[in-house]
Amino acid sequence: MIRVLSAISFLLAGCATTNDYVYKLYPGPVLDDSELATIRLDDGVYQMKIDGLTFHWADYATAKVKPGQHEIDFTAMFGVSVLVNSSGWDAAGTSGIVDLEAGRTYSARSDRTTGYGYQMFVWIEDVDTGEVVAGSRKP
Amino acid sequence: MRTQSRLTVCSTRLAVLLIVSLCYGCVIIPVPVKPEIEVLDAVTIAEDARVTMGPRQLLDEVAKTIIDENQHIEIIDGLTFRDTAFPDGGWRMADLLDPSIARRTADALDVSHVAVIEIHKTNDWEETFNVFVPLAFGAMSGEEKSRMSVTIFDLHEPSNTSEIWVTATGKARAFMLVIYGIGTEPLTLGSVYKGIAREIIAAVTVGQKKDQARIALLAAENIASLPDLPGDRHIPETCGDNQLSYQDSEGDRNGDHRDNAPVSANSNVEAGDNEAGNDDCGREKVADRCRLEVGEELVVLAVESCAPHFEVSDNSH
Repeated sequence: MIRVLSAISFLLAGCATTNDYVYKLYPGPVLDDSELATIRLDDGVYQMKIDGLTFHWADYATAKVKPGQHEIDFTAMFGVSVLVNSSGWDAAGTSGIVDLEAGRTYSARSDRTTGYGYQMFVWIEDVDTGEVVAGSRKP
Repeated sequence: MRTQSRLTVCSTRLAVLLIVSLCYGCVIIPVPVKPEIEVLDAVTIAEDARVTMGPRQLLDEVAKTIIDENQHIEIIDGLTFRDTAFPDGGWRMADLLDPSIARRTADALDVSHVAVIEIHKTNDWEETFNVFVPLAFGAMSGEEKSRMSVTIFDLHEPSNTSEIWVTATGKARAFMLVIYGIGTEPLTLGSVYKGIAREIIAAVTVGQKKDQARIALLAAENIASLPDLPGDRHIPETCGDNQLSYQDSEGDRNGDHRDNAPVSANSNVEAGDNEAGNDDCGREKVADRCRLEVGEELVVLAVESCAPHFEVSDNSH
């Protein structure tokens, strides 16, 4: 049994993909991370617009912007039961002006409750402090 | 004994599941598709289009295709080009038509052309037929379409800027019997990549020795576009400064105009290249060309606009 499960895990690992590319979303020379705000996409968030420009998880692992106010717009996809939603999926998003600080890493996240009347939550949080800077976290 | 019996049953079920999954067969046959190429006689650059490196994988694929087709073409780093052409940011695509920006960038990087790709459709799927009975049979057919455009800026001669649209459409079909299936998959995206690559090669190697050229490859993004969700489509609301109105097939105006043609763009001026005149907006009026996707057709609207028109002209001194 253990050998079979190990074999399945080994095969499935071949489907995993990672990329280390960084999206430089500011002009001029490359700056140190302490002078930039870093954004990454987690959970079911596959795409984000930062100041109108698309940042997709398949293209870049993180995006780096200069600190300050930025227009952020993103949507998370959720798989749901066809009994709840006939399409089998649902989406929730948030958009607005977010104040990003230098030297910080921010994560776009999503989560939902389950069952009838489920709720979806999307938010952006500071990875180090856990502070929510946009959207609302699942209670 | 009871525990051993349960373990035996569980192991047996797992083994059966594994065997079934290995025996399940689905064969997909890739079908190459010929791209349709359309060269515009005028360049349509949206005022809010930005040069980006966002679709990195797309740019890598097109670059690889270009090099596979012509090894004498050198493609420089797109980010280096972007940061050299736009040292203060902004990244407005129309600024590449400015001769001072174009020549400064060309001289700094020793690059002759920049090709800017805009994505319009990627593997867009429209199902035409579908029947499925689980563990019995199933059949499906549909159409897949991919479409991109490329604007090729000649950095030494801005008047040589050209815009080309590449579309690839193919039919997909699948048939399934119990757990075995066979289907065809049209390779529309790869076809568009090849079409784009060949048009870029043709444009940048004109008059060059040994078909050599040193170019940059970037993408364009209309920052006024709506975010893409599965099943959603960007419905163009404006053409230049003009608001477009839509009418449904029954002739009634409503808010849902996903598959409808624009009724008008509040002008009946015929298309004319850079015709100008005074109007009540206080600025020079020009005839803009706006290229819109309406249903399955590409519609070129020529409308009067008070918006600045990015005229491609030779301002060399």
